[in-house]
Amino acid sequence: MSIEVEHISKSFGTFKALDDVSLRINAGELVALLGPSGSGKTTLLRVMAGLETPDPHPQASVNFHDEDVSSRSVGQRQVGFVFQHYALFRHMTVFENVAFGLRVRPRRERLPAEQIKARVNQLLSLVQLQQFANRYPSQLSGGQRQRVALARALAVEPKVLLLDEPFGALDAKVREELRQWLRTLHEQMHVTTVLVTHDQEEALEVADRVVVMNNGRIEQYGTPDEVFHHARTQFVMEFLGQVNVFQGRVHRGKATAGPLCIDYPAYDGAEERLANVYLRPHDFAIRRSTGGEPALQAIIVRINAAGALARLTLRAGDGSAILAELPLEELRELDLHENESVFLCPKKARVFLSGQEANETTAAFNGKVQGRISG
Amino acid sequence: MPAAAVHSAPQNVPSARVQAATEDSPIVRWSLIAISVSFMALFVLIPLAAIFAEGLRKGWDTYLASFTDSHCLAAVRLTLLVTVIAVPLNLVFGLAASWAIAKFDFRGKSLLVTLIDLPFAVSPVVSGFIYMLVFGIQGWFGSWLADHGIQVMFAVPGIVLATIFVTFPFVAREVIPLMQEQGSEEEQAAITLGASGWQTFFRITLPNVKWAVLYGVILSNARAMGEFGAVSVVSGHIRGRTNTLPLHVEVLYNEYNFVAAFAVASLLALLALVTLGLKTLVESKLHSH
Repeated sequence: MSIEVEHISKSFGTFKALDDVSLRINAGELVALLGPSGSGKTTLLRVMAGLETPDPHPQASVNFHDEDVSSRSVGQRQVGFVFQHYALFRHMTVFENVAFGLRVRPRRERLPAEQIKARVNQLLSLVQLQQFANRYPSQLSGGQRQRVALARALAVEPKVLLLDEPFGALDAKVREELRQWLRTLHEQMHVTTVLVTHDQEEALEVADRVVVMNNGRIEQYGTPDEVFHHARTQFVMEFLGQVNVFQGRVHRGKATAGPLCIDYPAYDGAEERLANVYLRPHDFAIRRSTGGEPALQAIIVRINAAGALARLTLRAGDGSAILAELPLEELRELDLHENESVFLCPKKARVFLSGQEANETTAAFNGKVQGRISG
Repeated sequence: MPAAAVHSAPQNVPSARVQAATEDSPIVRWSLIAISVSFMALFVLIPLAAIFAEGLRKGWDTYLASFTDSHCLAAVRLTLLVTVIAVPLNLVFGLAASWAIAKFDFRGKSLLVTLIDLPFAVSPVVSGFIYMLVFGIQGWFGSWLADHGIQVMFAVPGIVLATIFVTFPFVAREVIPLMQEQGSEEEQAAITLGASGWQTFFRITLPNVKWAVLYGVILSNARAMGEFGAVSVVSGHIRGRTNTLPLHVEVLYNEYNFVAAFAVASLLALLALVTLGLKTLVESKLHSH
């Protein structure tokens, strides 16, 4: 079932949590709402569920399957909602928790006790918790509790599944496992799922599409690949992954930042304008000599080789810190050490004009870097 | 000899217990303990024992005879009646107020919280006088009530009203902090699962605070049965009709009927002991959840 919100705003006192947000989520997709805290992602999720009432607006609506559900109560919307802190019923066993949604149905819709039992057991085996049916929530680990919460939400056969930072309170290893498990589960069930997270890795790994939010607005909506590699705004560029920012100028189709000069056809005016040049850590090639190409000279401050890529922290001539990544083999071949001076050659860069967000000003730089002495 | 054993047993084990770094000297510790114990004995234990000793001074027969007196039985009945009315009403009020205060935000919430504490802050005698002012013959509604043949003051309704007033903070005071601590996520989870408001209240909210509610009811009950000041003002001390147990004790005492006074007082003291026992039991449940 598709979910569509239109012109949704929500204020808490003077704080504007959501500012005229419109979004369409296709049926069967797993979409992540990603953003820093206070960006409005949880509020948007709660508006979808009906737990939060949006500010009145003539065109504001929440649609499930192209049907306006704004006036429906939470219970009538048939959503499965999973809370960050599980919100399990502490005085009930795991079994009773999962059965709750089936037992509170009006008598004529309620399944017979035997069928409820069968359904709960089936769900418990789906979340691999059959042997814990008689335990209380306080006797379970965080990961197990979250799985109970998921089983409980799935018991009522929700039309959409809404997860509010479901793995936020868990440690890294368990998060990783549950993330994979959620993805597999989603592929089996194909329930439209919306997941709120502030963890970009989680969002990019698990979701079909990612909604990047900031200050109550949607910055970008796209596949993980799109938002990561084709950031439309400086915020998205800076929020997703690590990035080095160089302040520079553009004029006549060129952007310059320190020793770097980059083609920038989107602006060919004669008047100089301030711009930011963004390079991801893996956008640098590290050389012992410039080889005639434009390059930044920097001193290696620290090498961290724990992982598939070696992560280098460097210091440029002006004292600014630069992050670079390179494959371990390359690190060994170059035989790099801390306190050595090296050259950083950009392979790829993105340019954004300062004080201007997104759209036509974000034409990406396509590989060609020209040497030029700044100043 | 294995190396580990060398370190395990020091050669000069001190004969006395080693004083931990966080402890004061024994003199300080024992004098503090002695002070509290003697204070307790002087102000609580000896008076408590005295009640029973005085009541039993002329033997069991006289002691028991004090209870079979018709005025005493009437006082017991009245006390039970007032309690049976006041406590359930305060249970409902306390739960409703806690639910509103802990789970919702509204204008005037802090005023409501303050008002709930009013009976604790004000002297019970004053609360009795307030009812007198409102419902007494010279009071605001007094003549209207009298015209319609309704007697509030110096009758059971007045006693019930005064008792409700002095006991109404107990349940709310116990339940509000617990509900606030628990938040409302479980209720939200329940409604997303399709539960109605009543189902959510009876299946989620109430079970989560049941020990705090019971604790509040026990305290409320003890106060309802033992209240003297407010009830004394509104009751009129009519023997056999408007005397509750505490008032009955006073009447007996003023008549120099000490044995009977202490015997009836011992009944109230027993009630207090039972209350304390139950309170301790419930408290342990409350903290284990």
